[in-house]
Amino acid sequence: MSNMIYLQSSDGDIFETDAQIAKCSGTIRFMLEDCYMGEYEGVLIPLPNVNSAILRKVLKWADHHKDDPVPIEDDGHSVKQVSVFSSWDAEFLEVDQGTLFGLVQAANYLDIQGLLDVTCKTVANKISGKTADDIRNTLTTNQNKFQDFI
Amino acid sequence: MIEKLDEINLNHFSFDYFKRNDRKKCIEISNYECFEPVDRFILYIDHIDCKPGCFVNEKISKTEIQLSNVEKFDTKSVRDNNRYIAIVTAKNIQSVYEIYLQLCLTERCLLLPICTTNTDKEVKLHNEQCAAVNITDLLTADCWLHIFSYLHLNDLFQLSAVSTDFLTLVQHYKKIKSLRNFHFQFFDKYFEVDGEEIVADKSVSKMTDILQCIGHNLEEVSISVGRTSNEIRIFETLIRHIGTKLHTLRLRNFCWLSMIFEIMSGRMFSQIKTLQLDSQYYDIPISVDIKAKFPNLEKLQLQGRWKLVEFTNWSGITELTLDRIISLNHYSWMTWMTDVAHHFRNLQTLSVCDTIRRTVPLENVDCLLQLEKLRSIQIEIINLECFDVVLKLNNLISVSLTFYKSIQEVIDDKLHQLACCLPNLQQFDLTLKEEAFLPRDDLTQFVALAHRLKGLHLINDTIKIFLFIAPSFLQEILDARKQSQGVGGERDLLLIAFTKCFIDEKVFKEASGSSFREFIVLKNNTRAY
Repeated sequence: MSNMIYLQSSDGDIFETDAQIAKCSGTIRFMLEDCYMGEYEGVLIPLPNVNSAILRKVLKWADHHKDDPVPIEDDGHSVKQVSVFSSWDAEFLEVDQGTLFGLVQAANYLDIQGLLDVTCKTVANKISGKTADDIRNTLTTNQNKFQDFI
Repeated sequence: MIEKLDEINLNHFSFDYFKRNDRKKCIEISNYECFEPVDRFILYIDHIDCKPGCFVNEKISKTEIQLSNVEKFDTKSVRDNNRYIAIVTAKNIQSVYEIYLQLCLTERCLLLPICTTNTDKEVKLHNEQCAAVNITDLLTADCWLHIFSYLHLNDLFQLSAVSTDFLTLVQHYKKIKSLRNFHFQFFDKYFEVDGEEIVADKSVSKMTDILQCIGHNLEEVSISVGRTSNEIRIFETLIRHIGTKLHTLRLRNFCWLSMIFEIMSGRMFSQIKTLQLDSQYYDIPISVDIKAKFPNLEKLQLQGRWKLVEFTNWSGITELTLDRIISLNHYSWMTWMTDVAHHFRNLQTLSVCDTIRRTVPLENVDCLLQLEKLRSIQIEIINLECFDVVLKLNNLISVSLTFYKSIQEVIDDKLHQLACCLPNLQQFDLTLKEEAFLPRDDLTQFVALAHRLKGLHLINDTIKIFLFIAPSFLQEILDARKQSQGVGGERDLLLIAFTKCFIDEKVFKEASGSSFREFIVLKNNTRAY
């Protein structure tokens, strides 16, 4: 039996989704289980930090990864490796830098570890091997675009 | 002396490194990855420790004649005894190239390009650019920290140079915060060494970025330079950016140390406790008073081709290491033993390895008896007198001896005397060199008599001999240890380590069993083949 809930983006759009998919987000899972005590059919959850474009992509990612195993915590010292970085993810993250940063922010706010890992890894790949000047140029070029985006 | 050449200042060395451009036939300096040919350089000839100085005088005179060619060079020089410094301006860049080929590869003659570029403008521009990126407009700090976890150190240092915001954030990242020891290698090629954080790059600018990020936290810094490194700028960068925690400095292959020490302020050196100078190049004299620059030095390690002009007033030093001293000029080391005994009055640890046999003579070895605080010694046994002196140093706690085949017969059956003469001995290392054999019976007897021994390390550094550790030998050692510990009372474990020896796995396992474990712990440092 499906348990449909509603997510409201910062710009007011409402998205209907299965609660099991939405619960890949630690933030939403906490709200559903602690605030609504399991009775959450038809609940509307406002997400003031995520706009509709980003939320749509987040839900698309969550739907694709709904059957993924729970990621394992690391020690935080070694350089991380993303073990599962599928071609679907690679294609999914072929977006402009503003969208990518938006996804990082959303994954962090919604506490979606898997999405946070792949987006951060993608940002890291864009930085890795570049000189300070190259990084500065990349970030300043896209800074204005990103601010317009958010 | 260098002050007399008042037109030289640190701005003249504000480039990253220099290189020889054989195609254009010029010497080029690099700054922010741009190359420009130079026509000025500083020439330095230092033979201050050479006696007689006729060779030196001839050398300098020859050089002066070369430089006095008015068609090619304008030279401003000073000469003090056997030292010669000149600022040379060439009429064309090819002249610099020519003289570089003639002089730079010559022993003890150093040539370093100097520039007149003013980098203030570039630095200001760089700082303005740094301020332009506000990272919190892009992502929150915790997102960035998550991204950092996917980046290697080099990338983090590059990020830290992007803006002051990034610098602050990178400095708070735990992997960066935990860095205490760093090795800068100014070589052409990049390579990694396990267990050591290394950045290998010819550019001093990269060193600046790294030190701005982690300099305040570093406790140990190693710097290895190449022949075309700008040593003066490297050192200046180090002084400018390191913090108060730095206590150990290792300098490898520096040629310009004498001049560096002269023109650099001494403000940083008072915190240094351990100084290691390692050079693989030709004999480098230490013609400045290191003691004055490093007033609180406790450990001095000299490795490679160093010459000591004088040992004076080293009473603060407790640990002295002379390793691979292969000076071509024996003169500077002729009296080293006497000097050490006279000037290192508080020496507790003396380590001399791969040195005496090669170059540095062991004369007046009995002078070591004056070192009343000596507790640990590592020395090559090259004659009976040397061994006898060790026997007389009654307060030693740790002894490390190197045996050669040629001397082994002379001191045969004398090893056990160490146990009798050194009642406090706790650690004994024995290194076998050339074709020296294991003094098995003597060693067993030594173990039986050394009641306080806690560690025994056997190192097989021979050329041809495969040293197999037989079960019977281990059994003899066990019996000897039992004998030394007596019946009843407290028993100390003896740690026996083997390096480059062959121990059968089964034998090692048996010797790690309960009958041994009560008295002996074995450790095999030999890598598996």
